[in-house]
Amino acid sequence: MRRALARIGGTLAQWVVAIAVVYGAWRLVVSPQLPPGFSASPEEVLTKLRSWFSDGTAWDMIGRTLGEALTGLAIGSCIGIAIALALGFSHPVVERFFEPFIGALYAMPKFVLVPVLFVWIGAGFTPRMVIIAVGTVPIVAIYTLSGIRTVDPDRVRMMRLFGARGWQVVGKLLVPHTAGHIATGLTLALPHAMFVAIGAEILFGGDDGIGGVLNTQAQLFDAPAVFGALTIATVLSVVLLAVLRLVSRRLLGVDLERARPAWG
Amino acid sequence: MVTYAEDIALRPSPSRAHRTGLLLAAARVAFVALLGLAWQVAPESILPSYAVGRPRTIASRLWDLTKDDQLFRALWSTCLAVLYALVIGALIGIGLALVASTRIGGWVLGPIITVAYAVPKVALIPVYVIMLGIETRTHVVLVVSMVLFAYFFSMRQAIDELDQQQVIALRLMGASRVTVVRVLTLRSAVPHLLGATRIGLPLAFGIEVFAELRVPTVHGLGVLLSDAANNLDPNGAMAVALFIVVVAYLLDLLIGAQLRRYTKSVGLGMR
Repeated sequence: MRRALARIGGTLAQWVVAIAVVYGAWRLVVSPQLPPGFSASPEEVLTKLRSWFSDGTAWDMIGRTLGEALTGLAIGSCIGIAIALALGFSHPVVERFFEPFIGALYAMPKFVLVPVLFVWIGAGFTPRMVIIAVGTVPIVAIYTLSGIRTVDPDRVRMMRLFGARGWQVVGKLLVPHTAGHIATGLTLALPHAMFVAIGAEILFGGDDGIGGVLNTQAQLFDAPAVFGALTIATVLSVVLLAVLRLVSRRLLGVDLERARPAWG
Repeated sequence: MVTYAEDIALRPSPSRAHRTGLLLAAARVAFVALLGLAWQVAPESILPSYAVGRPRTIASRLWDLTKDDQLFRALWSTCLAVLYALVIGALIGIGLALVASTRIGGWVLGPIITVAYAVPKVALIPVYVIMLGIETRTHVVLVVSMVLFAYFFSMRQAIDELDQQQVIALRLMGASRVTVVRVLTLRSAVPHLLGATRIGLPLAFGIEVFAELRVPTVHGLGVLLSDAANNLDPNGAMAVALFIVVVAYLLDLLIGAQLRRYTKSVGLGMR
């Protein structure tokens, strides 16, 4: 009991010191760099946040960004899993044939699609979701394929010998076997989807979602609102990462720490 | 379980593998050509030319952009910004990791890094624009704030995996902390730092393009793309977008190949 209390006290002290260091750096280094009229004290940011949460603006922002990220993730995952299953079931040469295309899709900076989609579909929910889906497809496809590659081919042959059809092999062997890999791909793709959602909101120039509010308020030089939106984005990411780490460790036995540098 | 001998025996002969590789490459070129043809003749209702252009016009725009050197000037500008950001990000990331490896440094920096890492970096661009203006340095700072974490976490991992017996031996021989870092820590961290570059380079390139789209300066691939889109030139925009995709993919291939060659040369590569 005493040891647990000491540990909690130590962590609290660590956070207090960290906040003091950041606050000091803000006051001494960042604040003087900001143009006159664009500075916000922590109290002003807190007041802004309180007003946003009481009138529901904050929940709208979170809902919009999360909604885009989750819808894009769901659509992209379905396409990614379908591609992986199709490639996993085909001849190895077909998989090799498509490898560079999946690689190019993975390496592609997703934001290059913004100007094209802006002219084609507009600036609302759909184009943002399309960009997130495009970013999700290769991540989920690569993880699902790596799972399919570990399936014992003898098992597939045995099921075939017993008269199982293609969809039965997929449903009874491939999907359960690759579920862990698919889940890992999804857990890695979710923070990526959040990051792309905020970036797309900024580039498309709307005034909704976390990125949209950030963009609009920065143009209005409303510093408390800018740092308030930034705080919401950060807290959302911290919560998301904590939940993902817990879920992946408890349910999948996967340590997400190892994949951390790929997020941003 | 396949033994090493079986694995070697099952591999196709080099000449056959070479032939298959050539055939695959030809098939891929044919596939891309077929896609291009379908795109060229696609009805306006499916692929509107005002948004995605048409391959023949895109190719001619690409040729124009190459001929007057615009494309390569933009590529050079983007690559230079990425290079600056990678070097600065690596230096800050490695420095922070070394500070965080000390007891007090780790105690103070731990929570700060946790929160700073969680900040979605793209969300910082409006703040950086206000602080630094519409300048190339704004792009560089954004990319640095993204890639430094790849180097920080890789360096931390390298420090964690350091052979403590060697550290103790060096210290007993009178080496200072700085000497230990120079002769042991940094040298043993090379594979980790190369791995960080493997992750950081495509990431940096993508974020640089994002920054150039949001904060269009004078040169850069994102600026060229943004200009084409603003001038309602879908063929120019698609030409630049496709060029960016090809460059990103080639960069990824290049750094992946270099990393594989390095790990093989130091005996860490796969069989």
